[in-house]
Amino acid sequence: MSQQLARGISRKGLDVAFEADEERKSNLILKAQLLREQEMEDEAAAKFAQAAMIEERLSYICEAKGLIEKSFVHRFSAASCWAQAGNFYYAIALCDDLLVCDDLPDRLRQRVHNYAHTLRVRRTQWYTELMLEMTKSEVEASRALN
Amino acid sequence: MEITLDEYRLEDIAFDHRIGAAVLVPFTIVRLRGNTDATEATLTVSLLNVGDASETQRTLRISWSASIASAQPLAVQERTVTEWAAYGVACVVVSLYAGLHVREVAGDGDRFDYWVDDGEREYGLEVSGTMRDDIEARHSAKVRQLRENPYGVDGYVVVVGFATRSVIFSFNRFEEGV
Repeated sequence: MSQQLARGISRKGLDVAFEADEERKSNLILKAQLLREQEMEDEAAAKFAQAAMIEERLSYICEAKGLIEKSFVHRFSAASCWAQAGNFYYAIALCDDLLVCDDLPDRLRQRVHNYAHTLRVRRTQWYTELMLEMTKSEVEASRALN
Repeated sequence: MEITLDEYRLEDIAFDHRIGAAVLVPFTIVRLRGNTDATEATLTVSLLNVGDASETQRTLRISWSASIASAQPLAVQERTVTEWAAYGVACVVVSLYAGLHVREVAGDGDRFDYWVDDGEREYGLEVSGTMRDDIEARHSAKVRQLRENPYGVDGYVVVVGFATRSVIFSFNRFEEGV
């Protein structure tokens, strides 16, 4: 590495309990990703939801310790985990929480904004498709009865 | 260019990193041993801006026990096996050559796969594996991707060529405006 100090996010002052939670949620995300690859969507969603709750907690701990950049990392990851668990409402709410933070860096603000926008669009598409599918299956069921 | 032989026991990634890396071991073995019963594989590792020199080449022997070699990875697509095997190799090289710990899985849109740390600060780590011989082009693409990260952090890229038995491991500074 060159002489210039590398630019990273500080994790000073974090204790063993925090590290244990970090490890647990990373383990959960890895397992969830693997379950999703195996098309075990319900099991994957459950693990993403557990990881999301831990991420939120880690975010608040970082905020309390003045590790603001790291708190943003965990908050955005919590939003991502909730979205992957299928909870769009809460994922968008977490993104909106981030967007009202004055010290959110511009680049990250743009990324969070785009992510929330995409989730909103997908949510609308998903509900429209759900309604179409429901109508279709009701028509088919009624034809089968007649 | 200096060439040095290094050795690493694959199972140790579970202890050297804090993400539950044991799950990566079976995938890594499948890609490193190919269709053989081998319990070790030798890779050529190019280090770019890692350590003291700007560029160094090393020879890395990764070994594993015969007992875990028989464990089958879960049924997933071939591209996933390659990707997860590359994560396993990345765990080896970041520990061995940079003294870093893989600390966390990165989130959607972070533009890299993992957070690594040196005990004080965290950096990005982007990993890619390929069965083709395109690792230099792939490395360049992954560096560009890492530099688009929304946190403005510096980071590392590991690209593993399983067909060519070669690895590129580089440190890369964040560039504003990329």
